[in-house]
Formats: sequence, structure tokens, C-alpha cells
Amino acid sequence: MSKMTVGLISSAHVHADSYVEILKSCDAFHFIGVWDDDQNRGKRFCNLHGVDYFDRFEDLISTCECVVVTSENVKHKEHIIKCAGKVKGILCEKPLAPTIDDAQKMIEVCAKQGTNLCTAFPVRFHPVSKRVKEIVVSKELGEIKMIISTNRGKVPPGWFTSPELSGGGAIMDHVVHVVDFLRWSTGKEFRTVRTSLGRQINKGLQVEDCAILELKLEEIPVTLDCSWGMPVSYPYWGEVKIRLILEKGVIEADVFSQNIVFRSNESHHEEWINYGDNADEVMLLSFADFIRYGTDFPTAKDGLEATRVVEKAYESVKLNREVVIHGEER
Amino acid sequence: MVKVGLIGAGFIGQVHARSLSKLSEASLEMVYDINVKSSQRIAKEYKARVADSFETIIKRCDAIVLAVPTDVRHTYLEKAFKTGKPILCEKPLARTVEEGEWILRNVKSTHCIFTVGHVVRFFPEYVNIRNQVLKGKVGDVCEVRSFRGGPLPDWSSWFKSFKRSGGSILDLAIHDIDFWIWVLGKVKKVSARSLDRSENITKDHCYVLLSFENGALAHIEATWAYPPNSPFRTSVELTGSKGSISFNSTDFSPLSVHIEEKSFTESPAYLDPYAKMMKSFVNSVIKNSEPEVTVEDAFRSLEIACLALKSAQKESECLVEGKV
Repeated sequence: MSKMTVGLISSAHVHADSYVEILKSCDAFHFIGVWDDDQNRGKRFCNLHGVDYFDRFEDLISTCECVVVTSENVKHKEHIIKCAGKVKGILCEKPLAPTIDDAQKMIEVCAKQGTNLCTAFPVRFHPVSKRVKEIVVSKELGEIKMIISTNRGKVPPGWFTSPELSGGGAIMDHVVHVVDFLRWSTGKEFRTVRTSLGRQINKGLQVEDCAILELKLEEIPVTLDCSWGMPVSYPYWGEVKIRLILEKGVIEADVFSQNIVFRSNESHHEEWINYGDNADEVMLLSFADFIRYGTDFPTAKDGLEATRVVEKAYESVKLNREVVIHGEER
Repeated sequence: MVKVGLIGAGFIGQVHARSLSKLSEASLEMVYDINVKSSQRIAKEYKARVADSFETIIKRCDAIVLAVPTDVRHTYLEKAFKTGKPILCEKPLARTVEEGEWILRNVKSTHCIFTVGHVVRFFPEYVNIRNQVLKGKVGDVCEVRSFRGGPLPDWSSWFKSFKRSGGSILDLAIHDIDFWIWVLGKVKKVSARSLDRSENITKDHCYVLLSFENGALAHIEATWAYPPNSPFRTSVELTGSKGSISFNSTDFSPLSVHIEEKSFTESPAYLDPYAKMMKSFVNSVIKNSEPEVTVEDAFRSLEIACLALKSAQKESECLVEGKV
């Protein structure tokens, strides 16, 4: 099996570092290089990871069968449209887009140009997530009655806190992971959302950093805490925790908790080192399989549905009431 | 497709059968156990055949998994070595150093692929700890402590006989002995104590203190002293010149499921450590390459564990290579 050629469009997103290390060393891909609309940033990134930088977008895209797009949220549309028709597949960093309109436009252009557009949702590729879905689908514990979830983290660096580049704060950054996991594991759609903002945790940010969403996943009440509330000294980047209350029992998942603890003589706080299977790696290998064999992978439609929840969550803040995501207004 | 034959259908034999069922490159062909019911149960669950004798397995299969009690491997191995077929032998390598030497000699003269079930080397948390040490994260390793155990195994009675199993030192502490040798290299001195070396062990607990040639100390604790139904636990604490690493199997719970009378916790992985170990064995069979855990590795660990037994018996320190 020959390797699939792949390029990286923009190194803006923090996940680009993890992706490029996997893409350049795994069997499925032949990594071609990086193009970035910020040349300095792109060159720095390439130096750090020992990969090639391309000055011209066309030079990169013409040698790639697929690309991974890790630009700032609001630039996804421009970059996806630029790539559409030139590659077989695009894996776009989450959220697919900051607005439903952007997401729909991207989907439309890619469909017309015959390019497969996918969304990077690594959480569903973690073995803990797979097991949770298995148990839920088996119906061994009956129907789900309620879901309590948290995807909290530290404040991300750089453009994430500039609304003109990110499109929003903690809600924009963190809601889509758990939303996608729950849609995927239950096969259900979200109906309504009501967002409560808390007091700002990190002073001086231009975007929200403390929010809890109340959702209805069909009839199931769900809460989702997406805050950037982890202190600097927290030993890990954050958490994805999901508690499912079912008819006959409770499932508790702490997805990124397979950790050993490191304490350094040079720092006053501990560090957790994860030893679990690498969800990013499984996701990227599955993306290659999807492009080659059409096997299951989160599509742009899944990205759009997650973005729909995000946009409605912001609408709920603005209107200060529950907002319908799918279905009739009550 | 590597056709594997399983000799020994007890607790660990069942684990190996499950591992084989997860691999696409191998299949469980036949099962043999002196207890026909045990082999029938596994054969049924994993769609294998029951062999009428272990010789049939040795004759018909491409590779052999030997999961019989520690003290009775000899008979099976003698015939297996004659065919030169690949063998995965459960840990510890043998009950005594002499038996271990006999195995070592035979593996060398027959050039067969031979590996030993030191599965801790396939547990991702232990592999990660070793990698952190190798890349210098903690600096020079000065002292390590590890813990392993829970209640006395209740699935089979041979563990309770010290003559057969070697008690908590040879059956349990050997895992950590092997792991720390893998991380820290050669052992210089051994001092150990254990509670019960009788023919009817009811509870046992041991410590094994290793001094390494590089200066590091290892305090290994293994136990069968906890009340029935206590959880099996493992932990590691490692102190280096630049910092420490710790791991405790009960600190994090990636997945816990609470159901009436059958709650459980899990640490999900695409391939569990036992399946990874089996995959590694099958790979070396397919590629005719040296296994990840060699017979020399297992022999070295056995030697140290047996020295620990001697130290516990004599209640004194033992130097490696007879420098007492």
C-alpha cells in the first residue's frame, strides 16, 4: 500500500503540533509540508518539527492527495474553499466553522467540487469513548435518563481569545467535543439549549470563559460545562468527563485520565503524562481509511451539527432564554 | 495465519485464548488441559478444538502457548523442544534456577523462538515510565518502590503450595523484578523476606530489596495478604535526581460502570496488554525474529527472584553471582 500524500494548511491551532508529529511518522501518510498565511509562524513551526515550509499554497496543494486544515476558526471557510476540488479529502480542525452559515457554505462548495470534507473530532476515537458507546448501544443498562458532562481546560494561548479570529471563547472552543461524542454514541440529535454564563474567571479576556449549557438530547436532560477554568498549576491540559445516568446503572468516563504523575525539582506543580492510546493518531489513521475505503468517519455534517449547537448556545446568551436547535418552537 | 495451540486452560490460559481472538494474524487452533472440562469450556467459547493429548498440539500447531503451573513445565517443554516450534511460556520461566538453565540451554541448542509472559513490559503505564527514564526526564534514578497484589488467588489451588508456585516472590514480585531490571540494568545485591513458604499458604506478603550496579535501590512489595474480594492493585514510585514519577492503579478511573452486583472499572485500550504481548509473540513467529522478551531476560529475572527466595529463607542478604 502506497502512502497517502498529505499537507498541513496553517499552523495556527495548538493541535497542529500533535497532528504533524503523527503525520510525518505514521505508515499511512507521506507528509509533504506546511503552508501558512502567516509566513513567520509557519517557518517557525516547520523548524520546530523538521518539516518543509511552502511559500506558495499552489505548490503544496498540487502535490497533496489530502490536507489537514488547522487555521484560526474564522479562516476555515476561506481555506477550505481554497482547497476544494484540488484534493480528495480535507480534515478540518474543530469547530468546523464559527457559524452555521460558514459551515453550510463550506459543505456546499466541497460537495460541488467533489472533495470529502471531514471534521476533526478526536474524542470519539479514544478507546474509553468506544467502550462507553458499546455499553450504551448494548442496552444492558437500559435507556439513558440524564447526562452530566464537563470539558474544562486552561485558557488557550494566542488567537483563541481574540473574537475576530476565534469567533468566541470557551463555548466556541469546547462545546463541540462532547456534543459530537453524545450525538455519535446515542444516535440522537440535540433539541434545545439554554446557556448560563458565570463570572469571568480570567480577568481581561475579550471572550467568555465560564459557561454551563443545559441541553435536551431528544428527551434526555444534559448539562455541559465548557469553562476555561483550570488554573495554570493544574497538572494536565484539562478534562473530558461524562456521567451517564441510565435506567439500570451509571457509567462514568474520564476520557483522558490514563496518566502517570511527574513532579519536577524545577517546578512547583505536578505534571500528568498520558499513557493511553493516542486519540489523535487513531483519528488520523481512520481519516486515511475513510479516504481510501470510505469507512466511518466524522463528516462535515457532524461538524455542522456541532456548530449548530454552538451558534444556538450563543443565541441563548443573547436572548437570555432556551433556544430550539432542532424541531418546533414550543 | 499462525495456528496456535494452548496447553493449560486455567485462569491465564483463558486470558491467552481471549488475546488470540483479538488478533487477525493468529487463531486458537487447539486446547489441551489435564482437566478436560476446562479445555472444553475454552474450546467452546473460542471455537477451537479440544486436543486429546498435548503431543497432538505440539505436532499439529504452528506455535505453542504453555500456561501450566510453574513446576510442571518440564514434561511439556521436553517434547516441544524436539520440534523446534515457537513457544510462549508463562512467567516465571521456571520454579528453580536449574530448571531455568535447562530451558535456556534447550532454547539455544534448538534455536526455537521462545518468549516468556512478562506482561508488565506491555502495560502502557509501565512502558511510559521506562520511556521517561530513558529520555532523562527524571535524571539519575536513585530509588524506586513498587507494589503489586491483593487477595490470595482463589481460582486454582497450586499457588498455595510454595514448592509449586514459589509464593508471592516467585509468582508476583517477579513481575517487578523483571520490570526494574529492564529499566535499571544489572542487580548487585538482593535482600528479601516473605511470610509464608509452606505447602498451604493462606496469606503471604513479601518485600524484595534490590541494589543495582548503577547505584539505584528498588523496594518491591508483592502481596497475597488482603481479604478476599479486595481489588488487585499496582503502584510505582520512582525518585530521580531531577524529579519523581508515580503511578497508582486506583488513582484514576478512566471508565467505571455501576450496575447492581456487577460494578466494574476498566482502563480501555485498543489492545490490552495481554493481547499486545500475544501480538508481539505472533509477530516474531511470522517474521522469524527474536522476541521482545528473550529467554535470557526471563532467566535473569528468575535468577534474581530465586536469590530473593534464598535471602528470605536465610534471612540474610545475597550477592549476585555467588559473591556472598
